[in-house]
Amino acid sequence: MSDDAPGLLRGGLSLLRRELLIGLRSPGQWLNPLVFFVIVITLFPLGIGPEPALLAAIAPGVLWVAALLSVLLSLDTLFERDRADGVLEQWVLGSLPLTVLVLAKVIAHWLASGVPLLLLSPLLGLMLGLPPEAIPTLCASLALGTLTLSFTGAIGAALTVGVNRGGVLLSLLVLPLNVPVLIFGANAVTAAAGGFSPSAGLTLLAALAALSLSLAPWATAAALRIGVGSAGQG
Amino acid sequence: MSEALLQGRDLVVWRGETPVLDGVSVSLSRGELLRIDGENGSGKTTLLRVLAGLVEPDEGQVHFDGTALPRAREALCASLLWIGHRPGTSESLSAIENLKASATAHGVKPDPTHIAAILDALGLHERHALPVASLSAGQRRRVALARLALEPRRLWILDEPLTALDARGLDWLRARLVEQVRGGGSVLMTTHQPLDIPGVAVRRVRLAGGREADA
Repeated sequence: MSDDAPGLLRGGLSLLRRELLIGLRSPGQWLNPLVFFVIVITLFPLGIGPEPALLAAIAPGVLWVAALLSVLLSLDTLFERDRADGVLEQWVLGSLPLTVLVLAKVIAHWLASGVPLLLLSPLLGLMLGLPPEAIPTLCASLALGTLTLSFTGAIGAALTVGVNRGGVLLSLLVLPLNVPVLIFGANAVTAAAGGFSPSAGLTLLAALAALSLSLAPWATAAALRIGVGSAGQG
Repeated sequence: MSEALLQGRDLVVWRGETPVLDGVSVSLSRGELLRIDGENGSGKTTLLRVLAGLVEPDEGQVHFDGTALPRAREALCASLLWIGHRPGTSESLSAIENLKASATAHGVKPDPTHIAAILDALGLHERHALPVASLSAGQRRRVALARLALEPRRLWILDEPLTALDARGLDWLRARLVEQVRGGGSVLMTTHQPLDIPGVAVRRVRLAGGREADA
């Protein structure tokens, strides 16, 4: 066993590199949710009509709902490929703690799905007529929010690992956990757009991120053990 | 305390209304090669998964080094090398990248030149850097088996390691099995193919319908 902290860190980092490499080689994994995010947001002005005041008013909610659904879309495949390849059962039997592997996996997921959304969101925000002074809050809230979504989503993805067409079940499991993130995130952006301080919403988002970061890896690891144990013959 | 390294006692596993394992007991000593025989669906894979700690039995217990399983899990994981039906390799990564990741997850520091030498010995010369997805089934199996030479473990559990393997791969695997057993390590495996390993006594247990049958 490698209980030493530097060993764990080295192991975690090298697995993070592995995950990012896989993401780089199969760009569909992170491009699809990103394209989905852009499409949903660009369709709103077309559906609602070019009324700048109305668009600016709904912009925080639209951006946040689109981000939430886009992250949800990318969760489906989080553990599925590794399960099908048998990598997951190797991890369960590995001598690195499963929580370290989960942590590497989720951070890679966030870097591949949350961060691109975050980088693209200023442009889409301005397109919807969000005041420029609300853009930093939009980015900060999405950074904290998507991190929370990745961590809580991992629990759902682990619980539905090996379930045929587990996507709907996954959404049902994860959405209730993510409603607070949506509310605080959208509220913070609305407050900033109205010229108020967004710190209340952002602080709560940071608290949720810290909570999910510290609890979700353990829950995810436990769910993966059960999932691998019951997932069929081979 | 018993001297068996790995022991399953009265293992029962239900799948729905039918028992897949119906009271099976096996034990594996140090330096022993135990081969589980049986037809398809006789419970071989389930037995191996239970003994590896992947599946929790509905009844019965697995003991590793004299300690029952939930408690002995860390010790078991530190000594176990498991190769199942699924190759355990990611398709978009190359053989070397896969083996490095696997070594890391099993607490072994990966050494690229060592990995390359093992892959050469397995006849994967020019294919080190190709994504595993572009390899044939037999080549993928060899990449998975390369771990046997890379991650030293005293207990091997191998589910059908001979599948899709050609004569050269078989020779390589046979040599690894001999090394492992002579070095005091234990091997638990299943196979449908005839396997004779010169100089190593192979004990056989036959399963039928989730029970031990007379050979």
